Amino acid sequence: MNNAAGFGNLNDGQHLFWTGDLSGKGNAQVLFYDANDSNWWLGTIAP
Amino acid sequence: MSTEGMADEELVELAGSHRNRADISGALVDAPADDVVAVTIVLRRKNELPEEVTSGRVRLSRQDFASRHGADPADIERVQAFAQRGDLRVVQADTASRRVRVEGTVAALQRAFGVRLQAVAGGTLRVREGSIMIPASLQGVVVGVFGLDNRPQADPHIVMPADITPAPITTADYTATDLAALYNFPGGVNGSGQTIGIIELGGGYKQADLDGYFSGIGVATPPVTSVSVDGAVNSPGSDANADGEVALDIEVAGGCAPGANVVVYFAPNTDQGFIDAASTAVHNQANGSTVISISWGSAEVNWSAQAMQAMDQVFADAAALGISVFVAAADHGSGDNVSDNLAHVDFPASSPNATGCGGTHLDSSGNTITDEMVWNDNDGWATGGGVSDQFALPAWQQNAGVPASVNPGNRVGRGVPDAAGAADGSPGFRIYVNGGFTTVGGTSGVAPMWAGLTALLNQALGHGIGGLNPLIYGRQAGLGGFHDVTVGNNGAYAAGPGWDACTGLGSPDGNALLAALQGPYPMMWQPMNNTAGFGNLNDGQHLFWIGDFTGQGHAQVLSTTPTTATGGWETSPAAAGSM
Repeated sequence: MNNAAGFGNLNDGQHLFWTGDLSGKGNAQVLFYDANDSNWWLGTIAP
Repeated sequence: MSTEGMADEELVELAGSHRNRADISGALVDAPADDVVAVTIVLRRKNELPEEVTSGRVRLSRQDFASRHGADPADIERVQAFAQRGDLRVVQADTASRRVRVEGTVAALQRAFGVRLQAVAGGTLRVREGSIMIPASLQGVVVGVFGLDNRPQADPHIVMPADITPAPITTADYTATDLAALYNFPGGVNGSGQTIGIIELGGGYKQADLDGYFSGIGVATPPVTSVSVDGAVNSPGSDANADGEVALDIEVAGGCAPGANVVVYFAPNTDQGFIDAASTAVHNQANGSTVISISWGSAEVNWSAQAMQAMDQVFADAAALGISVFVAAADHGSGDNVSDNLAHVDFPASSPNATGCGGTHLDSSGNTITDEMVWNDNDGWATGGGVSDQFALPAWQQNAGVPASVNPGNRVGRGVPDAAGAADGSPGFRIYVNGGFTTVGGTSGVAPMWAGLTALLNQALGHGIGGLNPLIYGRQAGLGGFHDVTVGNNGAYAAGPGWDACTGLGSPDGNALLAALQGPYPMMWQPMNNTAGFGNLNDGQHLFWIGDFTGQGHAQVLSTTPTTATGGWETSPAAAGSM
C-alpha cells in the first residue's frame, strides 16, 4: 500500500499516533492503529 | 565434483568459475611453469547487506562498512594459510573490498587451484578451461578467483567515425554542454566537491587533448588524474578505439560537471583487471569516488558467473557507501554482438546495482528537444537492452512492466537499461582526441553524461544519491525526471510508454529529476506484521506504550492484557520487520 488515501480522517480524537525511529532504520516513522481494518500501520519517509 | 589436490586436501569446484574454451587463434601450449602470476581472491562478506542499505534508505560510513560488511578477518587468515601451504605469496589483503591478492608461479597456481593454464606460444595471453578448484575448507568463503586466465573481457561501447553512417558533421554534433542544456541539467551547481571515477580497460588521454576540448567548449578543464590498477597505466596512442573511449568519457563527464574531480582508473582488459578497477574506484579512500562511469562491457554469456557476482557485489558496496554507478548498455542491439540469434544483455550494465544506460537518437533545435527515439541504425548499431539471463528481477523493478525474455523459456529477469540519453553517431558526440575534434557515437557517451548529471544532483542535494535504481523505480517513480522515449526498437524489444528494454525510463530532465529527489516524498505505509491479535488498544481499557523494550533495535508495543486472569503485560512479537 503506497499511500494513506484510504485511511480517511485520522484526526478524529479516536486515533493515537506515535513518531520516532520505531524500526531502528535511522529515520523517523509514523505509527497508528486503524480500527477499520484492525491493522497497525507504519509509515516511512526516506530521502 | 571433488578431487585430491594440494597436500592431499580435498578440492571442490568453485561455484560459477567455469570458463569455456577461449575463442582465440593460434596453437595453445602449456604456460611456462616458472612464470609468476598474481591472482585476486574475492571473499564473502562478514555480514550480508541489510535491506535498508540495499534499498538506499541507509548509507554507511567507510569504517562501518568495512567492519560490518567487509571480509571477516578469520576468512582472510584462512586464505593466507591456504596460500602459505601452496607456495603462494600474499601481496595484499583488504578488508573493505574483501580482496586478497596472491602471487605464485604458474606451477604453484595450477596445483593450488586444480587448473591447467595454457598460453599462446611467445605471447602474454594465458587461458584456462573448466572450473577452478578450491579446498573444501574455503567453500563458501571464496566468492571468486580472478587472474588465472587473462583473456580480454570487455569492449569499449563507442562507435568510431568510420562506422557512422552517414558521415558525421562535426559542427552539428553534441558537446557535453549541448547535452546539459537539452536535458535541462540543474544550474547553479558544477559538481564541486564530487569525484567522478571512470574505469578504462585500455588507451589513454593526453592533457593537451583535454585542454583542447574544454577550451573549445568554453569550460575550465577539470582536474583529471589517473590511477594505475594491476600495472596498467595511461597509455595514449596504443589503441585508437580505446583512446576515443577515454576521451569521450572524460570530456562528457567533465563537461557536464566541470567542478568535479575526475579520476581515471586504468586496468588490464581482463575480468581481474575490471573487478580490481571497479573495487579500487569504490574503496579507494584517497580519491573518494562519489559517482562512477563505466563504458566497457561484454554480453553476459562472455562472463563467468563468479565474475558477474563479484562485480555486482562491488556495485552493491558502492550503493551502500552512497556512490552511484552508471554503465553503458552496449551498441549492438538486442543481440549484443553474439552470433547465436538469441537476445543478450551486456554486463556490467545488467548488474542490478548499477544504472544501465541505453541510447537514443536525439533531434533538437537550439536548446529544445524536437524528437527523441530509440537509437537503431538498422545496420547492426543500436542500443543494447533486454532481459538478463543472470540476474533475477529486482524488487524495485517488479512494477516497471519488464517483459519476459524473448528467448526460449521466456525467462523473467532484470530488465536493462534503466535510463538513456543521446547515443546515435549522428549527430553524435563531439570529442577532442589525438590533436583534433572528431565525432563519435555509442552508449559510451551516455554513462558519463549520467555520471556528470549525478555529480550535479549530489552537490545540489548535499549528499550522495548512491544506488539510483531503487529511487527512480520506487519513491520517485511517476514524479518526473525523465523524457519517456516511446518510439523505436533495438531488434527484439520495442519502446513504449513507461519503462522499456531499449531506453529504460527515458532520457533525463535534470531539473525535474532534482525536484523529484528533493521531495517531498510520498509516505509509504505498510501494515505491521505481528500485531493482528492486538486489536484496538485505544479502547479506554488498555494501557500501552511504544518503545524498544527488548533492546533489539526496533520498537515494540507494550500493553496490559486485561482479559487475562493475571492482568499481565506483553510485548508484540519481536520478529524481524514487525516494526
